[in-house]
Amino acid sequence: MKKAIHILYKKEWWVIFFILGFFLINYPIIHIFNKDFMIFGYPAFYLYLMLGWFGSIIVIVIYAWLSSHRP
Amino acid sequence: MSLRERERIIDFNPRYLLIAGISVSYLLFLFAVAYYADLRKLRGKSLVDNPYIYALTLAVYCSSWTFYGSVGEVTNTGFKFITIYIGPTLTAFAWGFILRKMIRISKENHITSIADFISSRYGKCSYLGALVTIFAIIGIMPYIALQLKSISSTFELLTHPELRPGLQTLAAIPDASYQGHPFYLETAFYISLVLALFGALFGARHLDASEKHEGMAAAIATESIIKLIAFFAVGLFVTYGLFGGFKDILSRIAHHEIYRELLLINTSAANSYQSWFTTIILSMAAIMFLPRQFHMAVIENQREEHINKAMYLLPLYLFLINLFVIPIAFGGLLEIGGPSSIADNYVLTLPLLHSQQSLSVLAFIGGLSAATGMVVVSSVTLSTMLLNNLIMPLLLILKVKADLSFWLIHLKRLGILLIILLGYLFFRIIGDSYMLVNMGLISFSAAIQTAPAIIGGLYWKKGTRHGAIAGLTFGFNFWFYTMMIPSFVYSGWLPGSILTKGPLGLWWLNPIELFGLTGFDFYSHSLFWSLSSNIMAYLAVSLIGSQDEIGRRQAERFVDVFKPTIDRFVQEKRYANFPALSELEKMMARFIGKRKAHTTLVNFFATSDYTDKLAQMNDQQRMQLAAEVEKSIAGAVGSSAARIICDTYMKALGSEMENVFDIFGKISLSLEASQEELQQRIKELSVLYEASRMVASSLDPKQVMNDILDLLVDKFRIDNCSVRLLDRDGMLRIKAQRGLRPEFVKNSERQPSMECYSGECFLTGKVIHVSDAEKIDKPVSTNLMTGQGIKSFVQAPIFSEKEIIGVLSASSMKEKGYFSDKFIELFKTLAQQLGVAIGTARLYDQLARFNKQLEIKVAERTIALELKSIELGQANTELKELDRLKSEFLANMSHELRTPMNSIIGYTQLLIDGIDGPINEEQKKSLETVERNATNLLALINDILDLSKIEAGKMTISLAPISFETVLDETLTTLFPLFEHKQQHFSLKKEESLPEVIGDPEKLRQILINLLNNAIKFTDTAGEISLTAEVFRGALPPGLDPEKHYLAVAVKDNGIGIKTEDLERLFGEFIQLDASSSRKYGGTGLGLSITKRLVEMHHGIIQVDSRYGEGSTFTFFLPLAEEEEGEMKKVS
Repeated sequence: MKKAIHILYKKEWWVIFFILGFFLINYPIIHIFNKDFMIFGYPAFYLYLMLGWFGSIIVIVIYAWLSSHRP
Repeated sequence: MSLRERERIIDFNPRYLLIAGISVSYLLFLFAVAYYADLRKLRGKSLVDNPYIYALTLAVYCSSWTFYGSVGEVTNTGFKFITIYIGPTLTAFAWGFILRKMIRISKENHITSIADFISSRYGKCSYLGALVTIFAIIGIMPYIALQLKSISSTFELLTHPELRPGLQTLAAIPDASYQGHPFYLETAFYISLVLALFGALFGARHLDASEKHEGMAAAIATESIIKLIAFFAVGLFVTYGLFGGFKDILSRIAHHEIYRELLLINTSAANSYQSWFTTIILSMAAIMFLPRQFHMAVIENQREEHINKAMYLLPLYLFLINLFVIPIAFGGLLEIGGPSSIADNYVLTLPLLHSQQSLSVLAFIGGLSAATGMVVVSSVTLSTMLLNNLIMPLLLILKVKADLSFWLIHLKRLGILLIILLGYLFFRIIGDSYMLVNMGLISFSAAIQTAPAIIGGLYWKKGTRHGAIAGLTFGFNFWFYTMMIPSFVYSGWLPGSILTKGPLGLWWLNPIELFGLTGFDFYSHSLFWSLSSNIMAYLAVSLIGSQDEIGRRQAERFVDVFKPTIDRFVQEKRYANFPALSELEKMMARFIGKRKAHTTLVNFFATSDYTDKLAQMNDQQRMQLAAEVEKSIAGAVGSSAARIICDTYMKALGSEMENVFDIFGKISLSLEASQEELQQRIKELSVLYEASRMVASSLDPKQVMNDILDLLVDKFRIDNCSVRLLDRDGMLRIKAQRGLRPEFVKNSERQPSMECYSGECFLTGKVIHVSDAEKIDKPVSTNLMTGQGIKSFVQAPIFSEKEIIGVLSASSMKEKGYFSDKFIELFKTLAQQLGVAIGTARLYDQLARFNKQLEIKVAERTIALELKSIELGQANTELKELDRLKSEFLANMSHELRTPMNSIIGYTQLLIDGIDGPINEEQKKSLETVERNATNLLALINDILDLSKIEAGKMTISLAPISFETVLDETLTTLFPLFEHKQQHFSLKKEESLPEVIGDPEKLRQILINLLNNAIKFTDTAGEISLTAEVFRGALPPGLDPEKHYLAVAVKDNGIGIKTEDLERLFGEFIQLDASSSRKYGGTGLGLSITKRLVEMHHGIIQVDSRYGEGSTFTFFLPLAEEEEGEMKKVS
């Protein structure tokens, strides 16, 4: 666990997350969800966008927490 | 007056007054908030200095385009609106790097706007600043118009119930421009005026734009809260009031045969994957590079660490405010339906439709917040840019000489008014044209054009001014051509043929299919051409061209902003004639006001008493001061204008920047040109090396001083230099010098005092550099300096250990300010080395003196000792000779004496025996006395003979294993009569069959006789005498060989004994312990001495143990014959 957190302190992760986010929100990844089907009664694409967005905010929260608690 | 005409003009129906009253009250509330925040700041308790407020101010991103437009957008392109807000979320990942860096740079350089940032990065180029400003105004003005339009139209919607949906007047939402009636009757005009007032009051309170506008920030943050609450309220009402929640609305849409398409993207060109990608890119850039975003995020930032929280708080805000966009949009579609122009107002119309008056007013206030926030911040930002990057440089070029400090602040306020009114004008001209509706993305597309210059400027030192100009020019031109021209066409201001056949029929110049690029949507097409050409031009031109010095310096300041300052400021220029501080202050006051000018200088010198500091400042400090002055002015008028102001001001005073005199050769400013730097360093080091070599090689202080002065003259062409040292009499005297006149040397001789510079240097231990000798304030020095013709000089203290021992001085007669800071640093080091050398030399000198004294003393002593030794040697030889002569004499004499003595005794006996005839009793008595004395004398002579034989080394003994018993028996036989004579009791104790000893029987017998004789002699009649002989088995006494075995022979008596103190000298020669004893007991006093020597000749020892009055025991040890059996040893 400690080691995992230690690894996350590396700044490069945030470049990777940035690029990952960029890929996740663009074609072709969105093409997977941009289809006419429902998940839990919600349109799949809607759910993907909202959850993905919120998830990325959580990632930033973690990043911000880590960078202000850098050992 | 038609309905359409009525709706925009001022009306005084009660509803109008109510809404107007609420709006004005709300704005007054914002004024109060802003005022309170400013008040709090004055009291030092900032309201906005926290990350939450910071994040809320960044939410100025959400303008009315978000508040109303997002909903409308959903009805057109489905989820595509979300890209505008997800882009910033992605960018937030990079804030830790990019935004932090931008903030740090802006704070260090007093950056006032994004135009200022770019201009400052590329060498404070005013052209670049102007370029960005113009493009920003073109790009943002319509965006402001859009906000005014939204306020105006939602206002009308609320005040004119007849416009409400469901009354068949939906189409009455204006769609054309209005020019039919005077502007002063329009609501929007008054809204504009109020906003301008707000901007002027809280966005232009101070001249220094780089100072925070806390009031404005607080108001913006409040608005952000209000718009979120308002939107949330409407969202909750629609989602849960009108419908059964998210799921309900979404499933209804999913089952709607027309609207279900809105749940997917890539269904039309407007929401294709391509346009999706484009909008993400645009919004990623917009959150940082829109002028208002740059202003709030960078200029208004209170602390860098606020980024840490803002980087997720802002995305969270965006997420929350967009959470209900989809339900409201879909709800509106299901409830009202209609085109997007109607959908834009769903936020208002949905509550209105359901008679939720207060909710609709709240929604209106939310929209008002969104719009006014954007307008106020944008107008303040654009006004700052306009003033600093267009008007100021223009005024300066036109050489307007008026006192600008009064005008500047008003110009700025005027600028805000101008920008907002221009926005209003736009609003009037273009009305509901295509352009206005799409202005959001068009603005984004303009803002992203600054991205290459900014990001390149942050991370790429080789990005040049020309590169930035080229990139921006290409970018903005392509943007204008591919985005604005088509917009004009769509708005009907240009012929439509341009978009079908191309301008003048040139198909390849078609703005929406430029160079035949088809298949792209409008925004992607424009972005592709503008951004790619921008980036390529920026990179290519930067690589082709080169940078000037200021460009390089700024590049370093920006790119290396996180590196320690020391690396970033390498001085190579300096001011030849620096203006007086009072003049400088006056000049600053023109731009930033008297008080601020004063505080700037006070802060720089860290003292309010700075007027006389100038003469003591070195080049670097002057450069720093000049930079500080420029920066403080930059805070008011922008960096490029400030540079022009400072440069022209200095020039006007004849104070020009010039290259530092080539004392070190050309030093390159840039660290990249490190080769030159390296060479320079080598040169310095070689000088230092040479100096230290001199210091090390000579121990003569005079020599070292001369060498170092020669080095100064030789390497640096110093006109005069000298070394002053403190003499024992407390006078500071020139000990070595070059180029000074004799009278100077003579006159400079004085006790160190603060009245002259060398004295001050000596007393304070500080390096003193006077770059202009005419401006010195020490009369004593003035006379000296001017007499010698010195223009500038430097003095460094010479330290030895921690004590100042003198002063090293160098001066130039050629020019003022001859000595650069680098030289002074080196000079200081030279003085230090000199100090070490002199110190060492002095120490050595002292040591040598001590050494010499010591040598002399040692020599004297040696001679004395040698003499003594010779004397002693002689004495010794003499003594030895005397001793030998004595022994020889005694031996000879004894022999010569013995012969007659024997005759005397023999004849005396004959007489006593009566052989020669009878004698009478009287005669017999006398003869017996003669015989007794003669016998005594003979015994004495014998003893002396023995002793002297021993001493003269003539006594020989033959050591051989013999039976001690035999010797003992023989001896005792001769002595028994004596015991009997004195009636003494004699006892003998011996082991049976004693082993043989090594000895000479004759001598052993003599030993035994001597000891027993003594015992008999000193023991009274009837005393007891005993003799013990045994193999010694105890611990051997010292002096004996522990490897051998010994026979111990002890002679004990109970006679008179010996006093303890006499024991030591017992075995000396001629010793009779009591002077009377020889008379009483007879004897020569040589017996024990001879005995001792005899024992020693047997390799044995003799001991005595005695108590006075109780008796004595003499014990002697003789080695046994066991090991040396059969061996004969002759000892001489």
